[in-house]
Amino acid sequence: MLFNSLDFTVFLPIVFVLYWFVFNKNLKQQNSLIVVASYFFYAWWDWRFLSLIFLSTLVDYIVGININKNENLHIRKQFLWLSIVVNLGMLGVFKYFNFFIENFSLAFSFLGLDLGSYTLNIILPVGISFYTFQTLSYTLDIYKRKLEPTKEFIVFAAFVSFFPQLVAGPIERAKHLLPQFLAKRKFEYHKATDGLRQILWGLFKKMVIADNCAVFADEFFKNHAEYSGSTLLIGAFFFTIQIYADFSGYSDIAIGTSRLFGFDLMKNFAFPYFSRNIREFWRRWHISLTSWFKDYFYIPIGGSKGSKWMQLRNTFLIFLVIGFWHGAHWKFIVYGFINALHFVPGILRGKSDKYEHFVAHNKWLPSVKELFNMLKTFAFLVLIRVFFRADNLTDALSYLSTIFSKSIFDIPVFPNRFLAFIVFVLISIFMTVEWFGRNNEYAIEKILFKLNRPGRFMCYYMILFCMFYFYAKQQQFIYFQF
Amino acid sequence: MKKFFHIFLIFCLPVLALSVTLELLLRNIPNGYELKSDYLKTNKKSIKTLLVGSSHILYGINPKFLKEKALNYGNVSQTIDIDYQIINQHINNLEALETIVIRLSYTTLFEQLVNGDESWRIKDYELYTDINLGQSFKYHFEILSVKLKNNLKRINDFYILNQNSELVTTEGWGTDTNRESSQNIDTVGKLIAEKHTTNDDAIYVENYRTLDAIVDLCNDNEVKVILVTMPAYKSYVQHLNQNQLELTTSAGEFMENNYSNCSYFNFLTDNRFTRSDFLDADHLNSQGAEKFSKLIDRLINK
Repeated sequence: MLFNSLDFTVFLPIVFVLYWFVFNKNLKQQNSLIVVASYFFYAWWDWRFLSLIFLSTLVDYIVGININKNENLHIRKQFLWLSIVVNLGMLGVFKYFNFFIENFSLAFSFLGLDLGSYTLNIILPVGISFYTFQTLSYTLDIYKRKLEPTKEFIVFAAFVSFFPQLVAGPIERAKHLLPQFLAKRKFEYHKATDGLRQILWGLFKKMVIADNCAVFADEFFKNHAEYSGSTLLIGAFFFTIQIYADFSGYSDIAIGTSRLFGFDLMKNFAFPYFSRNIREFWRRWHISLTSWFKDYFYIPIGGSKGSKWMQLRNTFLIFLVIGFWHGAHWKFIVYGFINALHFVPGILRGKSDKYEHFVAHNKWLPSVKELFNMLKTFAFLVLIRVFFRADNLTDALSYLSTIFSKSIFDIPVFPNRFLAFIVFVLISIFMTVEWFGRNNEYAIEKILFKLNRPGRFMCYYMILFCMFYFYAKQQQFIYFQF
Repeated sequence: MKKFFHIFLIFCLPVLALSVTLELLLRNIPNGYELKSDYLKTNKKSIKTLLVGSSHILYGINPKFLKEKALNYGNVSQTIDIDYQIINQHINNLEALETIVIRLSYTTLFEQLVNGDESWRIKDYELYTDINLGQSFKYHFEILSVKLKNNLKRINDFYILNQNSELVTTEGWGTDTNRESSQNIDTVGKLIAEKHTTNDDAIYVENYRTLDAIVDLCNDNEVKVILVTMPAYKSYVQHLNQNQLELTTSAGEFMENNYSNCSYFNFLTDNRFTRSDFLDADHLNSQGAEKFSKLIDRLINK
């Protein structure tokens, strides 16, 4: 079920009313409702893959209890491995099987051995990369004795399948989310209205900004051989905006929806396109994923400690793994590699280029230096996003070579000039609002508080009007494919 | 909680009121679907010929030039699965029905309205005809099916400018005067042909079966079926995929050979139709429609 669909518009109020009016007396009932609603939400896409969620839930529930009750390190480790094998095994089969088979086959063909092609026609279950990581964090935390396991299966099932964040995160930590399922929820007016506001903003980002950018990005990437470098550069720009508006829009809707049910999810985006360097960008982009890898992968392998060589190794490893997490394609690995390259000078110089405060701290506008750094970082992101969006590595390189050709000086061509102009205007308005709301949880969180209620309502009506007036063809959320 | 619902309701009321007003205004705009559906009901005892298909039929055959009473039930982007629904729903009620003319165009076996960019048109069947396509809830509302921008334009055109581009004659022939002119007919043909070319085998198999089911149904009801591939301009024909075209024409020939009630006629490259007969690369204008309607009339009465 898509957040930007009519189905969800019907689903959400029904679950909301049942949650607060019918099942509100008993915590167990509320959690059971969440499980049923979440499974229904997922089954709307494909009920067959519910079995994977259930398997992951069951295995980690049992593993969690057993790791906790056993003092023997060997047994604890065995249970931990069971969880890792099951979760990463599911990912391996459904997400990476064909990639490995194809590449083994290719590698052997270089040696003159023909292994044939044994790829399978596998559908990637929506959300598998998200919920498997969420359940893994649970068992890893119990193993490290940072968390007590829950004995209530329904609570754990609700934690794994919680519908607002089931299919595209934020990837929650058990330490943060699980206790919320164990505590009695009380309806809070301000939390609920804030949730609605965040949902509205998320829908605006998705339906107005992302889906309209997609019209051009899709066309330019699909037929890149027919366009000039200047047009393709704009295509990459559109995609850069699209992926941010799409994914952060999804996160806003997820967080807002959770707040309606009395839950707080972690922040997933912190205005990443206002970053002054790539390091800062990665602290602000898909925070739940980067922090997951930092805590469960980067730090355990040594993190930024040790020799420069170790730091370089760890940096490349984490970015390659993050790239590969996005999909079984070489283009994602290259995407990760290029990001890692960006850190090399800093590591070699022994300087981290960390910023303590967000850009233009306590000021309205950035300094010239800050502006230059922001634009430089953004331009870099626009270019490397080509690897992310292109169908394959060859297309990405071809796309980039056209950008860096003489045709970069041609006048850009648009399939629909007027729409392109409108989209540019919408992006400008959007980025301006984001800039002035950059110190909030989400851009419009407090920006409208200076207005009285009718004034705020007028702003919400305007956002609603834009959503329906500029509504483009409904697109699936980009991160559903991961 | 009370406060939340109270304020939420206050917020929603203007939105709801506006939505209802828009929906009512849109539903009150006369449209071809409703006219055809009403005509079919009121003339069910006398209609002898039913014409179904997409805009090729809608604009290409004018029942005025047919000797027997006919209804043009063609609509823009109407696909073969919907043709089947129309025929299946009405064949037993149309007591005088003798012939059904179905377009077998280059795209007929390769497209379905529900899967295409024009799927929003499903609402026209759900709202204005008695054909139930069993599609999503949203297609039961104008405001949910069509972009707000387009709906506002329709309201402005009809209520402010007194224009309606969706008009058809009483017998269902499309009289849309806002269609594109034929200025670019030489260049646009290639683009349209490319747009119409697909290689979706699954849809082909499904549509082939639907076509077979239509002819079979008509055979059981002793109704003659005329399958026609409509004339198209050379700039379009030259760029058609030969495989797709071959699959289309061979389907027509197969039906003709296997069903005694079915005839197939291919006018795609008929040289009686010249540039002045075309509105664009694959649609006839009123002059072409007159010429083609008279041809069809001869085939019906053969």
